[in-house]
Amino acid sequence: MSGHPEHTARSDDAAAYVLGALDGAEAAEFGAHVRSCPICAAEVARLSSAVAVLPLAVTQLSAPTSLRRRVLKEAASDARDGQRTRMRALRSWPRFAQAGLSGAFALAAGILIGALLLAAGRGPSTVIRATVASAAAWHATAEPVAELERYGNRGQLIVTRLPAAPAGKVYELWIERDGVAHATNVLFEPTSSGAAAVDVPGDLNGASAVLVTAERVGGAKVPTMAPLIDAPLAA
Amino acid sequence: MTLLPTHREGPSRAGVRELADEELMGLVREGEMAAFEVIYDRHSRVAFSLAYRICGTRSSAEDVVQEAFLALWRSGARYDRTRGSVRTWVLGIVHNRAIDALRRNVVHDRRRASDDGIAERLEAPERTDAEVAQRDEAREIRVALQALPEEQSRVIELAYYGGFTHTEIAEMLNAPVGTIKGRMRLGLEKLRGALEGSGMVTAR
Ligand SMILES: [Zn+2]
Repeated sequence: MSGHPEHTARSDDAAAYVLGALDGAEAAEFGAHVRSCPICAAEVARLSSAVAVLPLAVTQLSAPTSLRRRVLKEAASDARDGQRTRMRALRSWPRFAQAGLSGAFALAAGILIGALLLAAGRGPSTVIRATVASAAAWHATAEPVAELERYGNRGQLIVTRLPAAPAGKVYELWIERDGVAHATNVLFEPTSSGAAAVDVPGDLNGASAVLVTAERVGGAKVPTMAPLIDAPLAA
Repeated sequence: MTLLPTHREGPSRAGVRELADEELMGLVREGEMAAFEVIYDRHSRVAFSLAYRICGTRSSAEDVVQEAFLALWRSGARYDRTRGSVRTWVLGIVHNRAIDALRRNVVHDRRRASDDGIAERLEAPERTDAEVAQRDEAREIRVALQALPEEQSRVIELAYYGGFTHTEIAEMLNAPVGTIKGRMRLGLEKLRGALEGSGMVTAR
């Protein structure tokens, strides 16, 4: 079978991939291959169904009731904070987060700015929730969130609660086309509260994703790691 | 389909328990606590068991489960029902985080920490029909795993529960990387074949 040109060398990678046994760079590379190779995509789907039963084979334990209380309490306090509204405020004006203003004030500001943007006729936008690799949460106390706001062929990546890049590194933005990450030469650091709003340079038409990795200061020509943030774009 | 014609009031607690996971996820996205609670109650047991199996300590397992469910609560929008059940999705998050925690904890020799043996003491009695069904299912899967040639089950377990990469496994077992990947594939194929008849694995 001659499907994808690169396919031949790959037949056994799917099993290692679904078991999480490829290392970061290999996994990212194979993941990109899968998106463009129907043979490997089918193999991954097939083998994933076997991996899905593995958690059920372990000795079943009772989850502690104290854990249940903790999880529900934490979730409820999120809800009270009006998480989503606050994020909208950060998205519109990330500097509010930097200035450490109170949630209530930032919220009011968010509504105001939302209204201004609407009045300015910025046009319809779609917000794409990005996947944030758990590796990006190395010392975060809360789950980092990343969203790509897209207006036509332009976009802005908004992150909150993203920890500072590891020592000697910065975040670098990439645009993925045809499974290949292209450098944008945009490097960024979040504010001390973890917020950043980064304009994606150039045209998003035909791109498949906006990605972020952590690279050495000065940036890299090609990503040296699996994406920490992956915002998929509809084809 | 409108699940929530008057969703500000939210569905009644009892009503929520009747809903399927996929419907509940729709409510979780709306910020409906009661729906989140039901999802937690349905899947926390197997999530905790998996996290404990991987991390080997109760405290890390608890942290992993907490992180995973809060991630679900905060980003339920990421769930895509065309790509599998809610349970599979939740357990995928738990697995990733447990492996991350394991690697982060720099216990490079992966010896189980001092509270080993707690598994027996925590082992859960089955209280509900769903739990009894889960126990039977678990037994069937264990039988299928044990029926694999040892060299195949070993690489699957080292990778999935141990968090080792194929290169690490190749070194440990002193075998070529290609051989290790081949064993992983054969093992998963057989496991699939064995469980397909029981409807636990869907044929494609
Ligand atoms: Zn392929």
